[in-house]
Amino acid sequence: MPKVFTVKTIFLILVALIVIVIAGLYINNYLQRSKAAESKVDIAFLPTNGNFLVGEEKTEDIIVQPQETDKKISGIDITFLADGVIKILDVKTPVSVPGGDSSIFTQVIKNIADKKARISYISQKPAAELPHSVKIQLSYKGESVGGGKISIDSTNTTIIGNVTTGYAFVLGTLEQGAFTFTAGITPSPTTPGPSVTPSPTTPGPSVTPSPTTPGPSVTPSPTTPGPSVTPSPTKVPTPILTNTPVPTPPSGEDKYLINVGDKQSLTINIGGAGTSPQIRFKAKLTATVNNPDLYFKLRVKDEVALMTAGPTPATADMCNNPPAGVTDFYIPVKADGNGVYSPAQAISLVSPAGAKMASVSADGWVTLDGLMAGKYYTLNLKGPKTRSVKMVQHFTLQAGNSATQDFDWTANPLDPGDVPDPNNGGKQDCTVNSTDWSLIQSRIGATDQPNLDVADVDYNGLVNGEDIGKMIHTLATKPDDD
Amino acid sequence: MSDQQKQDFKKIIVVLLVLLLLFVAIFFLRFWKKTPLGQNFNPKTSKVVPTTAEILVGKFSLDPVEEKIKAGGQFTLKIAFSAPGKRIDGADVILRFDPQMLQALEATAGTYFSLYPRKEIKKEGTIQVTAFAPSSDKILSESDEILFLTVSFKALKAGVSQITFDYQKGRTNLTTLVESKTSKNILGSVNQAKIIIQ
Repeated sequence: MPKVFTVKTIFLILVALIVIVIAGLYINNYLQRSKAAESKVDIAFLPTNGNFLVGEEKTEDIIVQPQETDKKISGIDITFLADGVIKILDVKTPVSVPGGDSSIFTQVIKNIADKKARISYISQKPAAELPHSVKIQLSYKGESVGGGKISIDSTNTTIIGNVTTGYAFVLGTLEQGAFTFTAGITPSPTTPGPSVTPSPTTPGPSVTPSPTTPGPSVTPSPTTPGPSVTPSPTKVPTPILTNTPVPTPPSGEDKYLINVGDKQSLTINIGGAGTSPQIRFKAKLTATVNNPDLYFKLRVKDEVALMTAGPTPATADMCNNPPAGVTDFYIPVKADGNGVYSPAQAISLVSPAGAKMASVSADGWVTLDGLMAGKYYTLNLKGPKTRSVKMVQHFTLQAGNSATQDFDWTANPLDPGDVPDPNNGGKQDCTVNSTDWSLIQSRIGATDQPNLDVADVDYNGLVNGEDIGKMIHTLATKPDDD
Repeated sequence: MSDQQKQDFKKIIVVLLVLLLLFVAIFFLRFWKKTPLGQNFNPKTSKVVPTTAEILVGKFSLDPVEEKIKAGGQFTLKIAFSAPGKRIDGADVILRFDPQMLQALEATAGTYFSLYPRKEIKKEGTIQVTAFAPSSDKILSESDEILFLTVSFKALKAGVSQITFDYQKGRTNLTTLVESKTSKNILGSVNQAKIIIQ
């Protein structure tokens, strides 16, 4: 042994090693925590906008979902803020998505005020049972005519990942909901006082309107002098009466009291309560080998609103950001043994992040929430790797599940080709072109799920020449863009 | 410096070297662990993230950029692309012109791509062409300018008109130049043509 490596030297080196290892472990642990904290969580609002009646109780679905698919949620501490005319009514216990299991989380804090609500829940489940996505339902209403927003107070919101690694997610995309409220029949209790409304036909202090018909169907008295009616170009009219006393005769129950000279508005929805249109449909994909559960995108265009809307900026990505007058609904669908897809209440796929999900009844009726019945609409349907197909044009959607809205679109299948682009967050671009060809071509031979999700347009479990051929066939036979 | 001091100095050097080695090992382990996290979505994505300027080297150009012609006369417009240092999978061109001033007569494909599944002249003043499946997988050089399409036009009436690409940086559903393997739109610039009709 050289003289330099005496026992004393070796002892010194060992001490230094121990110190360094301890320091290294500390540093690495610190760095590891930093790395975990890079994981982001998105919070989506469904829907992100809407136009509702004053006083109507609405429910907003808030989806909390980490950006990395292997991450799970073990704790939630969220503060919601409302502004404008919105009043928060309640926030329900978070549930897992999919599954809707409400037993996962235990409540720690729940403070609900009109404009602010804080909930804090934790889960003591083992890591394997923790959900990747969580849905929170917040109910609210508009207290008067106007607009308002529901948003996340990011400074007072923390989402905790798997407790064994003990880190909080960084907040990623935080959506918010912006809603407007128009005058409806708001049976607010009367404010005692001298306010009375003279009936147009009976001059004097008689109190007229009755809230005993809380449903929205009200027939204006023919004696009402000239209510201003805003007609709707529909078979099922939805007139809005403005600046007129409410003319329904009293019926002995609670009464509205309206100040003399006050302006009141009344919305009449003929067709009963819950007037959102519903549709049901059957649809097929062109030339698929298998037919897994999917989400279809239904794009609903309000034809009148589109005509009256201003020009959309040329730079706008209308494929993924529907312009005014257009609403996209994502609908879970299941196929039967013949490859015919129909809306389903629940499927095995996680819903697309940030998408407006349509609610589907047990018998497959899709509620087009936020749409007004009795207007002309165009309906386009699109699959996750297909072009969009215009299924219905100039169609008057009626409230509820009218038999005329039970469609069979199987004769007009969805053609493959517009595949999701990983270079653009997995979004489609509403055209079939060389980008799609390249995305498929570069994955030839792939059998792993991420690549199949992009390029396996016939769902045979392999990206191959069949996929290219089908995409080219679409381009060659139906070249027009969505 | 005495022998004892020299020996002590050597010991200090040895300890410092060991320290340095351990620090290097710790940081190497740290970054070696981190790498897979960022690439779990698309395993085919390159680990090296080039700058935007490096990516968008593609260029589509019209030739000539200015043409003087009499009403009723015809001229030919060449559409070509370049992308130095890149392999190209395919391209899409959307050209816009004023159908009151110009009439597109015929669009003839170039030879670089073997498939032109879409080649449409629309009466509202649009030419839309999609082509892919390159006949060569070579990396394009600085001097390579690939003829994509030739369009013959007829001038309809006197005035000044423009022929332009429908293009926005990064958009994949307009004019594009798609790089092999990455499938990215690397088109960074286009020009336009001015047609003076006398």
